[in-house]
Amino acid sequence: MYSHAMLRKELVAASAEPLILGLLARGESYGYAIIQEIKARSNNQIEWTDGMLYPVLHRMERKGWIKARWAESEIGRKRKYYSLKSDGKRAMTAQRQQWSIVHSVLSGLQEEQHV
Amino acid sequence: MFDLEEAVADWRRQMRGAGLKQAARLDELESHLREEFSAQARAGEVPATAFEFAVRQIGSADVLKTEFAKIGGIDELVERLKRACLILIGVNAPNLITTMNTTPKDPEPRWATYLKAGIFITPAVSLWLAAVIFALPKVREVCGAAGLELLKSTEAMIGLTAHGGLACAAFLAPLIALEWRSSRWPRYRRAAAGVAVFLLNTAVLVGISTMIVSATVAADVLLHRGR
Repeated sequence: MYSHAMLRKELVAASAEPLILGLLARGESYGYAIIQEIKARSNNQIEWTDGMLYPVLHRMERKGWIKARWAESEIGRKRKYYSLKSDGKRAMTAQRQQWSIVHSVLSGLQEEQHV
Repeated sequence: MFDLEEAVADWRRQMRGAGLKQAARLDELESHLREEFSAQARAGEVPATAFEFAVRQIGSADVLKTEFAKIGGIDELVERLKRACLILIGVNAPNLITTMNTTPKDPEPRWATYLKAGIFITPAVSLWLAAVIFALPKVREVCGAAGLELLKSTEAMIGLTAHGGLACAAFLAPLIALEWRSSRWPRYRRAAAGVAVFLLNTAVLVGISTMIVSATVAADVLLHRGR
């Protein structure tokens, strides 16, 4: 995944899956809405090249983490909705744990510097 | 005047041209493109600028194609096989099935034409080779004993078979030249291959039939002579 903004692209790529999993854990969503929500929640600091979300979603679908269905929106627009499967929930827990390890080490080091 | 449907169709054509061919993927990207376009238009952008922005946001086909290719695996393979089968049975551009508002302009791909031609001449060519190798010596023997000759056309075909390499070269040389140099050839390729396959199959049918007729006539002569 490619970033225009503050986050380095390697980090954006690595964080895409846990972010999508976390977002879908709150209910089904579709590509455009996922991108807008991530943008809003990160104060525009995480900005994806929109198209790049879809290969990630398709890969996650292939792994059996999420499932997709085409549906029509209230204004008659065709959208592909994604939702979390039970394997996806397990993957989300595992990925969250990994990220918290990185986060806690970073915070610990930061605190030590302030002491 | 900006026409959204035309712009979307154009964009799909460009994506396909750059190798992003799966209809399902294009449908999903198109849905995204329309959402972004609407959002920009609602925010007060003029349509053409809104569309340009949405296209930029989606990203270039090259990069997307590479990312999609990384998914790989069985699905990708199944999709490719399905596409190849559809092309072979004559559904020219299966990626266009869901977009009813666009008409396919591309001719049948080269590989599909030649593969089909190859498949359709294989039985006739095998049968002819088997006839020439196994049946012809006997037929010649029988005809020789009866004092008959094979038909000139059959002899010509046998002659061609004996110089198979030369005959193939004489056939392939202009074909390669056409493929290489002619920009109009792709339009006629399929029809030309069809006609060539039909003629070859007919020639084999006639060749084998005349061999059988000659052998039958010769056998009849020999039979009467025997009496």
